[in-house]
Amino acid sequence: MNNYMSIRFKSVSENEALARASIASFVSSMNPSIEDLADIKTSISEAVTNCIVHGYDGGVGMVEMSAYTEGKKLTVKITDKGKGIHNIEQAREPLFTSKPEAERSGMGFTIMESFMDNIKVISQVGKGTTVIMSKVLTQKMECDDAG
Amino acid sequence: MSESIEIRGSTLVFTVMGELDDHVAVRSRDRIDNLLMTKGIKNIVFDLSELCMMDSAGIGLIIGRYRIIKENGGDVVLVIGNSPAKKVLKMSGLLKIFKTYDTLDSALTAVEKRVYG
Repeated sequence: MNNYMSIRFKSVSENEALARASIASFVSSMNPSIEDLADIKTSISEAVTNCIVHGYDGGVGMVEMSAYTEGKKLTVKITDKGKGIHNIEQAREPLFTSKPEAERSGMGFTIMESFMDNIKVISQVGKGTTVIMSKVLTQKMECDDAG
Repeated sequence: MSESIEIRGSTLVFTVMGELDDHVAVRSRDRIDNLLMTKGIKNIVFDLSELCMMDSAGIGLIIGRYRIIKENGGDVVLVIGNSPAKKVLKMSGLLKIFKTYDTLDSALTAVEKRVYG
């Protein structure tokens, strides 16, 4: 492990930006491409929103996010202690949402799966959910840094 | 605020800069819907060209407004430019539903032509 970080924050939607900014800052030393950075921030946003909207269902709890790097690989773990997921397989299906009335698109897990290399979901009903995702950052060409 | 709303004729132009997430989508939805009810808006242009991040909350925002606008026979179009939002829109299939433009001017010209042309 080259580097490690961990933060804990309240489950309010304002903190989605905090989570993204924290990860963006954490990976900055890895010199990510613009596309990789956008992919990582979008995936973090999906996972943290799930904790706030589904895990705590509008109630208040704490979200924990930790991340570590190994060479060019970033791994992020996001955990809530909310209500958990009854059927993980169904929750990961594209367009599935338990909240269609709230204009949820059901694309959250699909985006995480597409934008990251690996994603693992561990959940226990009544106990909470953990999402672990990783991505190997693209090697940038030398000329990318030349401006 | 990273988002702004402007009324151009019968078109509402929603411009959002920076990041479009659940937090921004919820407050924007209320602002847009209030105007749709009171101002007789026919079309919406979503200007996403200055976004550096959009998650699935943006998809929900666009699809939700599209349902309202379509009921009244209007149009919803997107200005994307080089925004990373394009990847999320493409994955969600929205690029097959909505016309996209590189600039706000070209989007407005197209929408107004449809109304008055």
